[in-house]
Amino acid sequence: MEHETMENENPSYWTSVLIGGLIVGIVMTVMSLASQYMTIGGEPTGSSFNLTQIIGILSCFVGAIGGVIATRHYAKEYDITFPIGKGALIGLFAGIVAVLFSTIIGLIWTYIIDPELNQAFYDWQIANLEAQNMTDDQMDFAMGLIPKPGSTSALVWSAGIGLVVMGALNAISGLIGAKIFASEED
Amino acid sequence: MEVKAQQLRLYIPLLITSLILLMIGLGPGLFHQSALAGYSWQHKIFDLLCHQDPFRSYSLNGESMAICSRCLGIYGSFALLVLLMPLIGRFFTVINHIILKLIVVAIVLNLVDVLLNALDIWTNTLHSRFLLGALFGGFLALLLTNEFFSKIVKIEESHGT
Repeated sequence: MEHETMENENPSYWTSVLIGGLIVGIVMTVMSLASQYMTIGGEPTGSSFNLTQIIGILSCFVGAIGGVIATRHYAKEYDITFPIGKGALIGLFAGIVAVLFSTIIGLIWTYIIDPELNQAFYDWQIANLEAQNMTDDQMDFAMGLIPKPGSTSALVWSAGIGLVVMGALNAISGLIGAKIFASEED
Repeated sequence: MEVKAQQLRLYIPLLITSLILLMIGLGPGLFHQSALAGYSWQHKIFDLLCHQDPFRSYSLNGESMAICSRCLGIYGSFALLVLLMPLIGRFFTVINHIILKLIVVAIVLNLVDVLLNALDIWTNTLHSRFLLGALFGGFLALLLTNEFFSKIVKIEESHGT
């Protein structure tokens, strides 16, 4: 009985974490794939309204919004207030879920739906480097930062960096979300 | 007037995280490394979160930063104001509902700026993008000030003698 009361007072935040993480994960994957397709297939259109530019500008807002979505959902769904520390934790988990989900969709896309995308993007990056007339040393250094498609290092690079950066950024946004949507003030 | 520091266990990690993000965002120039046309570990880290267009980014020591000028404004002002929170809490009263409205205004201003620039109605600059980003990041940090440093008003009791 006492245990039930405790659970009602502190409902699980995992649904909110999943919702925040999934939304950000899906949007980021779509933006990332769209930007890759535009990069490899893109001739300059001459249009002043450049979709790639808009995607790039929006990516920081989208990447950081998971914590806000998750904390808002948690506060509104259960009509509760909670400390900002809990908001930071919810945001951190939402960021991690977003990266994991984005990585899984990315893997499915590049292994099953369009297996040639990664190689095409890799080739484009190499061609882009060659066009910059670098020395061999510079070329080797830059190549070291472009992991071969499908390799473990490519996966570790993208998922590892994503987990740390998205986790940190969404922890901050979760903290802000908790302050806005779940604060006891006002 | 006293200022009460609260939740320092949360404030310190927030300060460190925001300063680290800013330092990485400042790019290879801060570490006296070469960017090699945008290929550096700093650029790689922010690859997910920023377009990193060198024409829309400041340079440091001749190297393009790992984040654009708008993102630099956001991360820079956020980190700076988190650092200054103890002083802000001491000398200013932060009214949250006003700050919330200012955050919305800053978001709208940034979106309008992006849209008008993309439609060639007006041309933004490195500095204008930096300032608009700084408004957003700064207001976000201000919103959190009361959580960590709030004024304590001591009420003197009079005993009627």
